[in-house]
Amino acid sequence: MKRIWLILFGVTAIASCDKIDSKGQYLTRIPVFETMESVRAKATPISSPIAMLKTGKIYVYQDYLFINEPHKGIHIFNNINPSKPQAISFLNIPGNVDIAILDEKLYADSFTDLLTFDLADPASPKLLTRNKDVFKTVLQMDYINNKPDMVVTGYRDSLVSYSYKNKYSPYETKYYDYIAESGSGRGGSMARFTLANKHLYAVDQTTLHLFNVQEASKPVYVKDIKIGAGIETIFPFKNSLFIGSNTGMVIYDISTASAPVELSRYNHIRACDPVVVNDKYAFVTLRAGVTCGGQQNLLEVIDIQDLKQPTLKYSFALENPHGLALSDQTLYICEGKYGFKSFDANDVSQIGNKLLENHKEVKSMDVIAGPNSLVVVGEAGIYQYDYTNKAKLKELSVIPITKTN
Amino acid sequence: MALLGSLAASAQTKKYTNHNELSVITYGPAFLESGFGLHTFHGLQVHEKYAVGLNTGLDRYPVNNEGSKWFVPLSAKINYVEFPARKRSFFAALDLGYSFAFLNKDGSEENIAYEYRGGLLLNPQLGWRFKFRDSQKYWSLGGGYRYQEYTSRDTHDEVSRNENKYHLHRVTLQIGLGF
Repeated sequence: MKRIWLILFGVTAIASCDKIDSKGQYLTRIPVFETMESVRAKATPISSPIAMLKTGKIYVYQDYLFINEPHKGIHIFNNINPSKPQAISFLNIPGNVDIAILDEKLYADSFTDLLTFDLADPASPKLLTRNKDVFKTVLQMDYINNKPDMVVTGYRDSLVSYSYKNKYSPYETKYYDYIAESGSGRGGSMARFTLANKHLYAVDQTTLHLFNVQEASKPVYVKDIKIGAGIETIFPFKNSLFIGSNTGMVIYDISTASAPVELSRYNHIRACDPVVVNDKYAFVTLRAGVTCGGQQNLLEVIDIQDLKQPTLKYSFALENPHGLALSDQTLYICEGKYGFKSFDANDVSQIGNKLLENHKEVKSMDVIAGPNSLVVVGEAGIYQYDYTNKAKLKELSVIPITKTN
Repeated sequence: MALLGSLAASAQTKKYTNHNELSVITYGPAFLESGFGLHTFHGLQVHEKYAVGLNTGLDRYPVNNEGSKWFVPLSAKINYVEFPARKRSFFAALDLGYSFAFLNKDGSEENIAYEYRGGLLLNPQLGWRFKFRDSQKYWSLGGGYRYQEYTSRDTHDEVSRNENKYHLHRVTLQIGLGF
């Protein structure tokens, strides 16, 4: 009789489990990884014009428009007549995100490298210098082949197969994955370039990369300065550098251009914020949304007469502001899908209430006050306006952006 | 069915035997996530200590923390009784067969199609049986180990698919009635 209890007890003392063999396949887009050597070897700079699928930074230089297509290169347009801009060539720069032009030199990033082009013939820039490996934050691990220090040059559709084993027991709260395949990539940084006082300032999400361009054709790397997380925009004004982040604005003194000194930090609520500046005020737009993590859409007017103590003076509600530009006493603000607006900046205390024009059909992201035209980067294309009368824009032309399916 | 028929046909020379059990199917000591089984065995006493036959029934127990699944087991079973004449006797049994998973509804929701398939079943068992006074009927207490394979498949968009093959290991505790 004792045996029965022994059997019953013995049976319950064993702990069992489920063992699961999983296998399958799924369709996904996987990154194409390349080494920088391979990217550099393939460089074929100039080609004839190609369709523009997306726009990034735009530069107005003499009678030309240089339009960056992120990660691909620069579309060059002859803009001598802004009502009829002519595409003349395409400068292939893989991994290019930003450009800056000074003294007939074009500076562009190409993944980890800084390229310097000669613009003696703006229609056909010539590569002068390549500073290698100065933007190292772009490098990623190729997790598929387990190789470090690669860059992502594109994506391809792929059917990925996997198999792994799992074990489950209610007595153990962990799952054991012992042969698993998982993908994770980290994105690279977005450089923002600006030139001031014979120096090139390139910011990515956390760091200011400083180059001396005294000798314009040969940039010399100076140093990196950590400035904090969430850096979005950079705007030079006289001897100051205004850097917009998603938590505020940092002001640097660049009287000694190779040694920027932080003057002040103006912190506000979390949002993305482009900034433009004049002698007295910084105009900052804050944009809410997923990318920026904020809740408010605003125009803020900040008194910067004392650079060490920037003070918020006025705040106005907007719809979804992106880039902005100041031209004399007119402030132009891109309102994303809500259109393109202009405001009278004569009295900054009332600026948000003095709407001059609202072009609702122009879904806009950025604006540049060029010498011959006001250039607006929109969803549908690059718009150019005659803004001789700042309060009444006259549309001159639209360079279309080709929509891909 | 043919086997059962032929067993019934030879019942006049060999005695028909029957054992019905209710089981708790569990992972182990504390009855977290356990289920039940109902089994009925019909066989022939081929020897005073051995009986062979078919065992079938219904199982329902949780799998991989995903909820309970139904199984319809069908197995060949051999039963051994140590002292068939005594009131109390030790017994051992072994099931080998296949469980069907058709009671779990294949289905589809949105664009994902689900399918379930059964698999191999193996269930050795040990226990004691106790005869009722003045009768051949008995009741039993036992414990065993149950191994069950089963597969689930889901297909998304006709391209992406996932197949899980489960090897389930369980412990069973049974109470039974037989004659």
